[in-house]
Amino acid sequence: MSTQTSGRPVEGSEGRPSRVAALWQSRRVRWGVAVVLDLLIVYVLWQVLSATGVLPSRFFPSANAVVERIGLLLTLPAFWAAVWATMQSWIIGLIIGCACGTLFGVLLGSSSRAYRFCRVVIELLRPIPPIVIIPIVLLVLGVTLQMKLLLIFQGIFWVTLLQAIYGVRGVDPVMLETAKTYGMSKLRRFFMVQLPGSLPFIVTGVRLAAIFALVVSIVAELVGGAAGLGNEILKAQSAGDDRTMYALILFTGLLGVVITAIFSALERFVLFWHPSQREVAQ
Amino acid sequence: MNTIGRRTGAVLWELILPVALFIAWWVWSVQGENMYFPAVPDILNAFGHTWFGSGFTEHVLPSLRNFIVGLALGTFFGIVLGIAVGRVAWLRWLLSPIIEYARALPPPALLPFFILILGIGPEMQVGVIVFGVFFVILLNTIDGARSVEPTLLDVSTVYKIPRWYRFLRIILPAASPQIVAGLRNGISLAVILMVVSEMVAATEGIGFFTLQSQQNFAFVDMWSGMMLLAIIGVLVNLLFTVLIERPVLFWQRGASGNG
Repeated sequence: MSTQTSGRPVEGSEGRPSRVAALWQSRRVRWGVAVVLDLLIVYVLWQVLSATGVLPSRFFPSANAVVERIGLLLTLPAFWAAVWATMQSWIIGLIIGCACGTLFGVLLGSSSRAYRFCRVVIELLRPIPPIVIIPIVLLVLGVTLQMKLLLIFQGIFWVTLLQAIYGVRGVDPVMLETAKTYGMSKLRRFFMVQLPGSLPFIVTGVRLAAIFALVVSIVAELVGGAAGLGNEILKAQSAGDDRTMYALILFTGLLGVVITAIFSALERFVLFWHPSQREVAQ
Repeated sequence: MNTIGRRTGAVLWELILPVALFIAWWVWSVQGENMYFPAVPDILNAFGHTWFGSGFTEHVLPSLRNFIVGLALGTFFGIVLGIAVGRVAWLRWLLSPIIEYARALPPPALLPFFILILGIGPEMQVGVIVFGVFFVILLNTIDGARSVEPTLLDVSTVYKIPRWYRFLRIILPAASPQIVAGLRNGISLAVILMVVSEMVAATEGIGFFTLQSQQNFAFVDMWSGMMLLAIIGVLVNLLFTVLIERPVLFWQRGASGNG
């Protein structure tokens, strides 16, 4: 996870025992060692527990069998079609949801009157879980990509909207006043002060949205029956194909890890010039 | 007089949009142009006799029970283990990849796994909610427990303050803002998982009733179910803010102000 600088100066690298210690100083190395250890622990534990029957074989195939199944899945076009179906709705939904949420958020954030006009509706619609509207969305749109996109939209629009509103409203008033005093036009103030000032909030919103969009995609596939990993997992379970079910779940987790890592890195990259906002942007 | 006038003006300004939208929905739906969108008065009528009648014990209570039990168990284990892991550096180092992985795994993907090992029933639904909530709370508690002011711990060591007292009065309060932040996400997730599990595999619950009504073309009942779920989503959020977030954060603000 941590992409901190690994190239720290190595003190006393003349073959002294501190070499290992110096390597240990790097967060990346420590993280890597922990990952390898964890993989080993989980694998050995799973293998031993299923071989000794502590994990009943009725429910738990051996770790080896699941790993083999992941290898097999990676060669199947049907598997990649499911991955693509999930990722397609994820990325399109993410782009639409974040674009709309950020746009409206920035607009509402710059006008206190407009924000108050919409506040009650936002507060009422925001906490409605996307899963709630599945029945009606299924009726109107059927089992389609649009159905998934609408659910993802309900899931992430409000998060990005609120982050953008908070971001724009949270810009240091002294900075705004200063810009005004220097005779900056309203448009220029918006692009030079308000937008950069709210960027940390917006990026945090986008990161949260990216993770949640995947969750909603999976939900739409489980409940709505749309093509994708969620649907494949459910199908494997009802067909009694436990190995495939475990393999697909583990792979879905990997997808989640990759998305989390990419968007955390993006957040760090954008926040890097704005460290003071980090705590507030939570 | 003037301020009162301005305040009512402000409140009215905030209420224009929601009221207008509701009236628009009402007027449009009464015309009956789309069979998927029944008239609002019919929905309200169905809402009354479905959820205040037998539906309450049949569907609402099981849903809320699963929600509360799952949320409580997940939160409890998340806090206890989170503080243990957060205060022990080597444990945190060793377990963080597993925890990060479990946190990144979309919880609904585990629903079929829980159906497999627990079958269809409340255990399965509670299991999914516990899993989802647990990792959200765990990660936040670990972060919170790490951020305890070291001076406070040193002082408590010097004054020989017992371990349990230190846990209750120093570590837990210091971690509480993070735990509360995690709880907000955990609650939203718990509502989603409650409904998803009911819609995919259950014989009772509000989510089950709603999807069942949809499949039976009972669109009025379906809308009354969706309305109740939406109200639960809003209400749970509101209760959280009023009963948990405000007291804890108020306390926290006071404490940091004095310190």
